Amino acid sequence: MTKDKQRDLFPGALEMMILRTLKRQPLHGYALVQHIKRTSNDLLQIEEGSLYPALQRLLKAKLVKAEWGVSSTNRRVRTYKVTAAGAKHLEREVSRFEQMLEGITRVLAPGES
Amino acid sequence: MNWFQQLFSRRRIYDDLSEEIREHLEERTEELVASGMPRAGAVAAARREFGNVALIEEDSRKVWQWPSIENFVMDLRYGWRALRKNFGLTVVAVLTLGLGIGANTAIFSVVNAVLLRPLPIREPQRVVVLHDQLPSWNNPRTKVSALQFLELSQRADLFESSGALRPSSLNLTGRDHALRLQVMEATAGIFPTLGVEPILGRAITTADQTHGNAHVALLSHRLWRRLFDSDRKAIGGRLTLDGDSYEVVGVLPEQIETLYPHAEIWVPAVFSPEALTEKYRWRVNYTMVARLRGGISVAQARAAMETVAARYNDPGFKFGIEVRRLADEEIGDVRGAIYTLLGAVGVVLLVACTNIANLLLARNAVRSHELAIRASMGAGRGRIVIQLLTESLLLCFLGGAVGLLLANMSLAGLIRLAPADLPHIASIGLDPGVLFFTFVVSLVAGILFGLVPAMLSSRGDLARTLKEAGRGSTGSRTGRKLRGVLVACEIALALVLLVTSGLLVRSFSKVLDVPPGFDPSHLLTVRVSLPRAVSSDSAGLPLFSKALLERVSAVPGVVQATIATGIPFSSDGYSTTFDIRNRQTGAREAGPSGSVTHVTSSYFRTMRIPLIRGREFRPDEMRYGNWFAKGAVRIIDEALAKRWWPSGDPIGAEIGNDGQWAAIVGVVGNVHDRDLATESTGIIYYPSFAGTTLAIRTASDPTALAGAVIEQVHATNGDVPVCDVEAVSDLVKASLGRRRFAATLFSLFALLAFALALIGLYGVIAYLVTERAGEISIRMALGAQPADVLKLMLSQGFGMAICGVVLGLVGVVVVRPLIASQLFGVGPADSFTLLAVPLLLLGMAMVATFIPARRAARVDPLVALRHE
Repeated sequence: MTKDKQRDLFPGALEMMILRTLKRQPLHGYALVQHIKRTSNDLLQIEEGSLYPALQRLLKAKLVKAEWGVSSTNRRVRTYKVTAAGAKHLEREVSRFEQMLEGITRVLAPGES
Repeated sequence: MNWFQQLFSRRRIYDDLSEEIREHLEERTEELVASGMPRAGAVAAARREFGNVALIEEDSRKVWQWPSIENFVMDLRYGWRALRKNFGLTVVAVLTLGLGIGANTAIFSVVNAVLLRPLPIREPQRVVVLHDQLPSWNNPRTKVSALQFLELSQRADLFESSGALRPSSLNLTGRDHALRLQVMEATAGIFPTLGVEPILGRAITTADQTHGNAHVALLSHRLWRRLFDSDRKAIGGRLTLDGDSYEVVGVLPEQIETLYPHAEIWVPAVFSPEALTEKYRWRVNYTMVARLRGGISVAQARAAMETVAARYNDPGFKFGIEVRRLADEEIGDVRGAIYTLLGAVGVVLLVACTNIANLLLARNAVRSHELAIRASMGAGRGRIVIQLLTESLLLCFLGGAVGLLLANMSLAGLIRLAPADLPHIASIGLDPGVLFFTFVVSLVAGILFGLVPAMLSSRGDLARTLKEAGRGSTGSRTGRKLRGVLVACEIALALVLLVTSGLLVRSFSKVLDVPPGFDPSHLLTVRVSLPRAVSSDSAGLPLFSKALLERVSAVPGVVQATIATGIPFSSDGYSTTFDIRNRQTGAREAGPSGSVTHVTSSYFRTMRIPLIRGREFRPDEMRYGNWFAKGAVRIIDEALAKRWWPSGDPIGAEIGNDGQWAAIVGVVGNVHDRDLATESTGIIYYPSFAGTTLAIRTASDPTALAGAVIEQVHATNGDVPVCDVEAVSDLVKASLGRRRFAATLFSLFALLAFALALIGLYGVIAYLVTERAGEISIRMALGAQPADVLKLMLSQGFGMAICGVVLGLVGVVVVRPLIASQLFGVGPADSFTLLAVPLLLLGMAMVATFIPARRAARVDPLVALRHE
């Protein structure tokens, strides 16, 4: 079940989106899910099932760091922040993604030959 | 963070994760409640949205783990629980495996000690032994002469170095008791050839090998300890050997004793100028050992020796020089027998594995419901196979541990049972090599019996299994068929072993039935070692021998005594060719030959060798020297008489060498000289005092008289040491050691395999009965009689047994050539064995089937159907 969902995205896409979102502002898990769902206009169904493992991977690779704190609604939350390494990683990944996207777009563009 | 810290911090990471997810769920619930949903509904909805909390947590944790190892640990824990739950099955499996692995470990420890342990010399693979092959002299393999050794040792293109050896003995005097020492005469080259250096002092040099300088000696480690208490001051000390004073110049390391266990003292080999003349080219009495030059293979050396030998070949005389590795020399003739044994225990293990594979198949079938649930929860097939395999490996290592224990316990018995002439027998033990072997065997066994059931059980239709589970399903057809095939294989393997051991045991009993040609019971043999003062005196020796015989015969309890150069089972008789007067042998024909034994006139009566024709020796015919002077007589054995006088009478015929003749006055019965299984190649008896072996016929237990006899020897001459005091019946028994060893172990293994196969058959039928209880009760409810059910079950078992027997007989045909050389008196197609064993097996198979089948016939249809 989780496997099927992950297959919808290419490998690394979820991590890229998490890093992008966290770079804008540090968030905790729940807020992160809500934010990604909202900004993608619910086009991307990000499941908690893949979010938490992805967060653990980023933690392990030291691309993000986590801290326990208290939210505005007075709830104990674990907030994730992008590290310097994470920011660099994001930059590299985004530029690679843009290249890839451009390539795909050109191939898919109709009419030109 | 290194992995070590990670291991400890992981608990915190996991706790954080759990808490985080809990908070996540709560936040969502609060949100839903805030939007107006009742709390209970909100909790459920939040969980539903989130998905499988446990699984997500596990997936997230996995990021921090080494998946394969942790899964393995988990499987191990799970497997352990599964094994404990099925305690009875586990015990049976572990014991079965333990027996199989234990037997393998024990036999491998023999292989390891006897066959695999490298010789304790430098680069043993380069060290070879050279032998003369003289088939036309009835000597297919013999030593080389001094002249040959000298010639061959010049071949620097082949040999880096070489040396010659000749065992002999010397009497050590000048101490409390005269001692007979086993001597190794060696040339200087032997030490660099073997790569052995003295641990103290120096080795023998070429300068020592000349006449007059030869009185130096090297002590074996053993003798050094015994005579000098391992004192370094032994060097430079003097020993009186055969009346000559020898200087101790060195002590040899202990390792050489594994190679030459008998040599107590090493002295230079001295070639007299005469021995190096053409006349003595065929006086073959030295063992030649050589170290091949780097880059020269044994095959190359062989080819070169063929060229050398070709020079001496002519139509009437075949000559060859054999080259083989020193390692093969030592163990050449036991290798086949030991590997056959290893094969036999391998088969036992195979049967054990098959049995366990069957058990696991049956158990996995019972567990198919559990496995199906695991599969439906997302476990992949590979994952399930690995988990089942882990369980069987766990089983295996438990079995391996039990096996090691059993092997360790049986090793002492094994060593006691082993024939005394098995090389390196004392070094048999559980060393790291053996432990590694046990480990590998356990591993292979685990995969062998675990993989197939695991593959089979992990396959299959999930939905069907889940639906059927709970009802008494009929089980998978493949599984049942496979179990049948496995049992048939077990029976086949057991049959092969039973037939083989049957043949060996029958050979053994046939050998035991062979009359040795003399009466070994109540016969004592004692060897005396004559000092040179006695043996070199042509008048002194007969006097000594006569006096000794008189004294010994007077000992109460002695019936008769004789002296000979050797008696059966204790002699190394030499073989000689001879001529028959007025008879020409064809140029291409092998001339007459036989081994020579010098005996006193009472020999045949003492040994109880029957006289067939003519008469025995008279006391006045005894002599020492002048072997062919007027009045010289000989007695020959029946083998020679039949071979050379097939229709005539040998009495009165004259035999001899170089135109000197002696008359044949009698023919006596054949004796078996060394081995009951080999026929006599012909013996010529000389009436003489040259012998040093006493044979004494006693009225009662021969060994009880040993002390009195030794006393008489010392009373005759105080300088004569005594050795090799033995009851001849023990010698005959010892000559059977290898056969006894092989027959005993084979029978043991065959019975083990047999028992395992029967247990296997029983298990499968019993399982079948349980599995088909529902079907049987339906049949019975529809009118089947208990007898019908019994017949149905019996026919199942009988079918497997028949298949196994047929398969096994095919196997017998395949392995028969392997044991042909160990058989005696029974053809490889011995009808008794080939008939009795399958019948026995089928009979026992019926019993093993009958017990569970009867239970099937007693099934109460009501009870069984109510179960549904």
